[in-house]
Amino acid sequence: MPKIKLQSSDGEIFDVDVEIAKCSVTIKTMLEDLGMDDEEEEIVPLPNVNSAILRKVLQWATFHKDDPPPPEDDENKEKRTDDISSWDADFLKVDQGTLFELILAANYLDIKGLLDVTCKTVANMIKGKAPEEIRKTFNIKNDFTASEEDQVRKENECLFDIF
Amino acid sequence: MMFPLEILEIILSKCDGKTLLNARKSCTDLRGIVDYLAEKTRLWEWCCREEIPNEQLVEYLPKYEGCGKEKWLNMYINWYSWEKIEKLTILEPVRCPLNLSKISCVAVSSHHIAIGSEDGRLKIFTQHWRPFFEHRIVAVKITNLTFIGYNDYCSDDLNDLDMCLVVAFPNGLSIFAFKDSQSFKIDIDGIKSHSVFRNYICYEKVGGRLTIIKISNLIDRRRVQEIWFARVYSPSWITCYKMWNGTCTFLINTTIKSLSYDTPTITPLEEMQKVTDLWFYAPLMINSSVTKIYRDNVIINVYKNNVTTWSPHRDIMEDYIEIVILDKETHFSKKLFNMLEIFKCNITCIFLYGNLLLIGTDCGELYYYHISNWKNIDLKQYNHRQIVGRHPIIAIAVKEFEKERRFYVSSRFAIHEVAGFMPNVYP
Repeated sequence: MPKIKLQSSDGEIFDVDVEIAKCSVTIKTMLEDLGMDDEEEEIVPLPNVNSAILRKVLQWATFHKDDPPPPEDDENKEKRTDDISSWDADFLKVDQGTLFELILAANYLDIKGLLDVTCKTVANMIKGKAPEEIRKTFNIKNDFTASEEDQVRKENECLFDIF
Repeated sequence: MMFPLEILEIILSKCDGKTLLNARKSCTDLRGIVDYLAEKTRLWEWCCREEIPNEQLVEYLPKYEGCGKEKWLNMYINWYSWEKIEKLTILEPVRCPLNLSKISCVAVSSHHIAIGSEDGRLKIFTQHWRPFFEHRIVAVKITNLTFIGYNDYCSDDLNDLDMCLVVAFPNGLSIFAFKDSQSFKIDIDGIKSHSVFRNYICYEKVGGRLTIIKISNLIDRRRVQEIWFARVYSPSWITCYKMWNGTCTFLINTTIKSLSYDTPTITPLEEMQKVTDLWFYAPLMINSSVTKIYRDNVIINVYKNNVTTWSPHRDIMEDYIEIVILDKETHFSKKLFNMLEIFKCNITCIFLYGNLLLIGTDCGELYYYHISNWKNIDLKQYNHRQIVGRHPIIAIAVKEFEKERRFYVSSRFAIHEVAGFMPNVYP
């Protein structure tokens, strides 16, 4: 099977089957655009993905290489978050930082299946959480203006005064 | 910010409704994405269809007829708010601004309020209590009013109507249809009891004949189509029956039978499968016991023990409310509550709507319960509200109004609107 070399941001080089690498639309397009010959041993640089994450991505891609192509975006698609296969669930038992980097890598490499399952995992993480906890998970700030916040608080107070 | 917005968009599109509501409160970016997704996709419809149990959804949908684009969002918020009944804000009951008298029944649709009186007057108001229609049917009590749902929830046949209302009185019923400020009326006489679900009506004629009709195309000739009939012979009697979401559940003596009425081939009564035989603490058919079926799986029997009534069950001297839950596996299970102990007065009406059970009493108290699983219901764990005046509550109707659920609680001469909502759930 023809192989290509992928280079992570920290310089590590991975020998990968072309078919596996092509599950990434980004790499696939790159290969087509460059007209890369299967014989040539060229190195594809991936400046946005470090070696630890790339290794994970390739592990996922290898396991899922025989999956049918993902269905086209459907208006009626179910939003279910609990249909993550057990292999994927085990695979994604990583710390939050790694998970988030996997998402960014899946997005950059344009691997729909991986992006889908990682986003589902994050959706499950924030399921039922309070606004404060959601902010914490995403490491974002509460940017509502004081007056907006105040209004919300006032609303609450005046309504609970009834009792 | 760690993630680009397009990734947050993918994540949020996979979240459940509660998380989306909380995400909206966490920061402006997430709020923007949720609102964008709601605009671009059928986000809130997915949330409703995935999270709200179907038996509740079929009851909420007709309440949003003609309510526009926001209906799924509002439906979700109302459902979600009443799921957390203990955190809910219930406003003081507001008395309707009209002088009404001899009220016997009330019905509310998304845009109209219909009131029937003991002397046969039918009054229909728009949602802000402006008169819309008035009619004197006969000098008898109007016993029940039901708006017939139409639009996308029922057959397309009634789509061209503005409104359709079934009016029942002691020996018959009239179906009123409204179109472009004209009204049409169909009468069916000799009716002992009836049950309406969307555009299907099951009725029992004097003499034990049961008929199910389908109403369609009220304006042209093909108005009422008889789709099933059966006769119940003595000594069998029809205790009660209920049309609900494609199934008509019959309680014949103490046997439950059920019928799928919107299928092309309908089973005759004799061949209908017996679902189960029930038993009740007190015999049915006693004047002071009221047995009603709710949906297709719950029977509530309210028994008022009148000491002067002869009863073979002399050990039961209390007034009680008995809830029978039908279940495919165990056939049925029962819950028994002492009515006077819990409510200190008599139950005058019971209203089941979505995830809520409301009980009105003869001293003007409104009790409400969140129902998730009937088997866990405990009537002693109530929330309640006193309706001004302490007059017996005779009817309850409901409307879902933007982000609040509003109950119309009626005594004989006043209707109070009781609104409940969760503040700050969708800022």
